Amino acid sequence: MALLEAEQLRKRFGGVAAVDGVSFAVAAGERVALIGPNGAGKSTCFNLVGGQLAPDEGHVRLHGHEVTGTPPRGLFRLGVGRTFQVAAAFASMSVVENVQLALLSRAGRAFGALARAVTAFRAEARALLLRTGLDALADRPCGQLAYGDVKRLDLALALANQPRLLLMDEPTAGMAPAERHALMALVSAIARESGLAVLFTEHDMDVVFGHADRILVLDRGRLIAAGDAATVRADPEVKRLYLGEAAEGPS
Amino acid sequence: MTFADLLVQLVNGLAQASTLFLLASGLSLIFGVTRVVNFAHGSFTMVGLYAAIAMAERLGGAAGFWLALPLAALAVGVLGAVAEMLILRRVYQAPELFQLLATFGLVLVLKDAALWLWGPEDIFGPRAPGLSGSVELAGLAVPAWDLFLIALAPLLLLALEALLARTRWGVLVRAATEDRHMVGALGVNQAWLFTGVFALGSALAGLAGALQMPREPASLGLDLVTVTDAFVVVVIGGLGSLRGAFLAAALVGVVKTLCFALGGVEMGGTTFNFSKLTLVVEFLLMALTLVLRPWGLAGRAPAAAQESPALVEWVRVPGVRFAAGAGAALLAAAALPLLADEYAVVLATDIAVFALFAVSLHFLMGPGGMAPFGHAAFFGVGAYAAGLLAQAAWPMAAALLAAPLAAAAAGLAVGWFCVRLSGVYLAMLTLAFAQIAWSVAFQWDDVTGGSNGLVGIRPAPWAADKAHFYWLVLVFGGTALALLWRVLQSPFGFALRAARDNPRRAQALGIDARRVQWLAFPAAAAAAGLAGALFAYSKGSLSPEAMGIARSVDGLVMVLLGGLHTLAGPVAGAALFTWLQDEIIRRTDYWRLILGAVILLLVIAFPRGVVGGLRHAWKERS
Repeated sequence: MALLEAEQLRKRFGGVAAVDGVSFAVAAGERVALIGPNGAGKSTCFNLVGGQLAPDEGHVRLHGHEVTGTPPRGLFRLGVGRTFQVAAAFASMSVVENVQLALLSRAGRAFGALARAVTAFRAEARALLLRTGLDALADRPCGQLAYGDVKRLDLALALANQPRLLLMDEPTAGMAPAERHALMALVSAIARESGLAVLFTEHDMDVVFGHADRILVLDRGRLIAAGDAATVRADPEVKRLYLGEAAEGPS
Repeated sequence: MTFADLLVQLVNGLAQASTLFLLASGLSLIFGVTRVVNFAHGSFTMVGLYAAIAMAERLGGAAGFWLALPLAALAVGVLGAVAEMLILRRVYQAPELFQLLATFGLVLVLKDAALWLWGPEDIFGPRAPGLSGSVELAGLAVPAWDLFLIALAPLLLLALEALLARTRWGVLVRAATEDRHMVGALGVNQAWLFTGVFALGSALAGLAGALQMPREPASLGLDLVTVTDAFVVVVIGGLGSLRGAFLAAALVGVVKTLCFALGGVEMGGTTFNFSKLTLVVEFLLMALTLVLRPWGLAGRAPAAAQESPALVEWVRVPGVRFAAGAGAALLAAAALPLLADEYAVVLATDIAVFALFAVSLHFLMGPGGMAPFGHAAFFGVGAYAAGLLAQAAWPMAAALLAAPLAAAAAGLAVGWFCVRLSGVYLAMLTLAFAQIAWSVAFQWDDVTGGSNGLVGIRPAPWAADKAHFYWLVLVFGGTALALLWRVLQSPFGFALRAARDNPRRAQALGIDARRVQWLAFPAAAAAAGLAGALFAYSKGSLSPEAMGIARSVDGLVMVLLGGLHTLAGPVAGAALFTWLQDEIIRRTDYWRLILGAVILLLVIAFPRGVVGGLRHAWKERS
């Protein structure tokens, strides 16, 4: 059974159908990219799955359970991790404290008012930082990190609840090209090890073709193509969509 | 109550509503364009009334009276323009709380300026020549001046709307109200637009004051009474909306007079006195509006998210050294009665009480990232709970434990509403709740003693000695302080900061940001309530002033003196503030002027607080 199933999702904003009957599924261990030109409905689709928006019609299922319209903090409890396009962690805390808070929340202890937070889950937090390549920066104030490191911290936070589904909105936006592949290689390795399903949106086609097992192409709210890199590359609709635009100059 | 009585009251209510509209339209215009909620608006009204009376007397005769009205409005308009250029211009980019505080600094300065110019006694103005009598209306005598005022409000609304719709300046004002960044980007000189709007708003406030000449004497207390009324009307009508202000003014004016007119009403065997509700009812209306329609009757949600620049800085979790330092400071404080005289001990008791109050406020402002403008409510609830329990012959220790619980319950209720709003709307709602608490204390004579307050709140015999009571305050206050600091280092404290730093991130990590902020309220309220209870026992008596606006502002000044990003800051701020206030009051009658100047200096020159600012400067150097 697919880990994540989206069925006939629809969302309108005023007169515009931002997402118009989109269905897809993501299996455990699979990395799926959601692409399309600006205004294709990627972000809306992503936010419908991530609980930031509720669909007008359609269903989102996790492990076969209905989770349509469940808010982000409910999805966190069901094993969904999420990173943000503009990554920003908690600036008043150090890197390791950020992760410790995420671990405390997973353990349902974020409302404890008398325990000391800085000693809780320290080892586990360090292990997560080691895994994401941030170990050397553990005690840095998070406001002083380079942007690439903030992106990694965002990933570490998203992994704190040992998610089965990872939602990444533009995971490499704002990063240097070399850093992009390092980050996505890390995500791929983690997905392989733990059977984590990854759904991500991305503008960088190198990243998409290099790190996605399957690609979903959206245009004007509809799914126009789906398949592996070769299939999508060869798809005439996709060619028209991207090459046609490229011929007219960058938008 | 006859129909005729009701009609007379209604005319009176509508005349009040007319004045309220004048006040609110100016405040609303200023907010719409500058996004500043101007606390000094009532002060401009007060100055307008004093100035009009002085001018009418100087000029003399009927012409003097009628000339004094526009002249006073003009003078206040100029005063407003000067204040905008000297002060407000520097705080447009600051967080809302700093803006409110800056304009409150102006309130204090203007109050003492009026005291210096016109003295402490109320001054009666002349009656309106030609309109001093009454008019026969359906067999009733209705004051002619009231009818004049009632006619004026709709005319003024039309004039203002024409100004905004027909003139180029008005179009710019409307555009700036919609999107001031866009107006700036289009090359309009924003500075002069803002100054112009401020001058017009102030002139309207001055006119509202001048028009009160035949109705009431000029007095120094007019500023805060007036501005809170204007706040209420503007918030109910919708910040930035003239028609909303007009509707709300009529609503508030009529509802208030209806309460007064209803008087005692027999309900289910007991008499319920509605006239005791005149103060509380307008704040209830305001709180209800903010909860049901946060942007007011005719207001709209702000187009762009109006998030002020987040004051987020890295906070090092205090370790053993901080605890040792705090312990040493507490021991040193405890040694004071062995070294100093009783005066110093009493002052130190005040400092300890207000340090706890400031720390509890800092809990919401700093780590909580909220802008509470009515923290004195919790102080007052704790103080009155202790006072009432003392009168019911509870032992002091029991009362000191029960008072924080009462305040925490208030915090739980108030917080539930407040966390649904943010920024200036949250500040206004907390202010409304504080004024509700104050009005209840002020008007519920049978229980709270009304304006006389409660007396005879004596400490237990073993704590009656000043030094003993001081040690008691140190023990209770020190424990509460340690608990609050402990909570800040707990997972909950981290979650609270997370909800402030990045609420979206916190939600995605399973943290219910709104719930975390809600629960911060009872914690802070309990500590503030304990401070209030200790205050009640140390003074032996209580008045509604214990939870007045001035107390809330004192707390804000203490926190900002110390700086938002240090744990020890509020304690240092409270000590400095309380000591300075004591010193200044002993030396001069114009302590408000000095306090006001200090506030303005603080907000403009030291936005990080004095302690935080010095620390920052030190770090920059090294």
